[in-house]
Amino acid sequence: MDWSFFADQLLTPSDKFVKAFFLVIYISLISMFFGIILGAFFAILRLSRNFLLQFLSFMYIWIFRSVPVMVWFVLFYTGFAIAGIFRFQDITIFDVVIRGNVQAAIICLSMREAAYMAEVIRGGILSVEQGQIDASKALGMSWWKSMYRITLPQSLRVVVPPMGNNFNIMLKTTALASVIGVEELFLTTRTISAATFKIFEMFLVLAIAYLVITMGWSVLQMIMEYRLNRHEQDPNKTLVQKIKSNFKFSNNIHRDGA
Amino acid sequence: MFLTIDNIHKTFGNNHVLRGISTKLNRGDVMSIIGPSGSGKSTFLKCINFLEYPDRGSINLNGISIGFDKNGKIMGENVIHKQRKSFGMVFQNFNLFWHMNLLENIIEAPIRVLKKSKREAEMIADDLLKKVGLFDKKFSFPRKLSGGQQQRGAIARALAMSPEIMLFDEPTSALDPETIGEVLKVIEKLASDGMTMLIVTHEINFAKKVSNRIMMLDEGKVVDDNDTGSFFNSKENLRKVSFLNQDY
Repeated sequence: MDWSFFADQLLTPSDKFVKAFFLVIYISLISMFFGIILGAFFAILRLSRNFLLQFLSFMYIWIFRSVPVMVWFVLFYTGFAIAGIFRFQDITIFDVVIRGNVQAAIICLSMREAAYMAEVIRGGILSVEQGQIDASKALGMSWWKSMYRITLPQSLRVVVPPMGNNFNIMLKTTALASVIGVEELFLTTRTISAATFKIFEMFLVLAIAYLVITMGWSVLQMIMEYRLNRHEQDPNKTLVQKIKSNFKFSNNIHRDGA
Repeated sequence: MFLTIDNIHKTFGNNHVLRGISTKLNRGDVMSIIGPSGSGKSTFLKCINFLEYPDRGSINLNGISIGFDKNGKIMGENVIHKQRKSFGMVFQNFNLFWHMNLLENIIEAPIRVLKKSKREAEMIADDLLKKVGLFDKKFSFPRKLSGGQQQRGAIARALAMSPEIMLFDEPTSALDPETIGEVLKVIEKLASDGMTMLIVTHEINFAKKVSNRIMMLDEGKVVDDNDTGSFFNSKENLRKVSFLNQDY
């Protein structure tokens, strides 16, 4: 065990490693963003009265939850190119080059995420009381207004915890994009460790890098859940008291009216 | 006639809940709808603003046909949701939006549906909150309020749309006895302001006091529909008499 190499790589990581670190974050964020939007769309289809739309959504969810995302990566990127269906080209947006394989990774991850989020969001929508929807209708709100002003916001409290779970999984799933040569953390670490033979040290650094990313996410999720519990907080409490009490009722299963 | 309801039928599966209900109201009329549980009172109320779609019949508010077109077909939801804003509705379980504070609850529909400016909507909301005695609670969230306060808030929310008629669906049934009074007072004040109202209620004494019309339903049919004095004085109808003479 070479501690000085370990400390060196941890505290002053190479440019390549830092780049890979941010690549993981941005692939995950973009895929999550599209995953949520597409997921909401399929959740709504699944709940529609039209049997055909329901079936369409059911099929989508079934297909994208069943096939491993690694298979999608190879199918979409390598497979499509070789079969002559579609070849992902590098594109440049605001002087930033987005590699073809990164695009393919984002598309596959988004589509897989949409399938999982569709089920999470469907559960959230079903958790909203009929009375709330009746009230919005009685006030003359259209289906769509009632959906995005009342139903979706109210479903967030049920949706956010499993969504956090999904995002955490997403961050780690980016490692699979190494099969199509995306230079994310896993592939970069393997390259560095292969050149130096310091496999143990390098992969320990990698593990810590993932910990740092997921830690950052946990903090974000905590802030989100704190915001969503706004309606249960006493406006006269100080911020510190509010955060403390928020922690308390995250663990309190006896919360009323939930 | 201000509101004409004619021959409303509604079935849930094999259950024929409403078997042809008709009535007429003048502007400013307050009608209480009473009857035993399962008589179709609440369903009837929900059919008036199409929260439940009636199977057939006709509803006419101020010369405009509600929900049904000329051929008696139900219109599209895109037309119906616009018509609903003429009817203010107050629910048994209040149904204030729990993710918004009281003020946000009240200004939501005026801003989103009536396209009022935020400022204007807030001015209307402030007036209404004073009227129902909740001005000091305007930034409170529904779950921090008592049942009576929530119900008064829900009344203010419905009034903010300046509806032509108010529908109350058992407004005091979910309240504890101590807070029933404060809600009934607000409803009484509305009645004296000349608001046209339909109130489904179990509070016979309140119905007697606040309304000039009483309708009794049983098994989806109208048992009696009369002005309040005649309703309580005439004793021919045995079903009505036995309902009114119940000892609790």
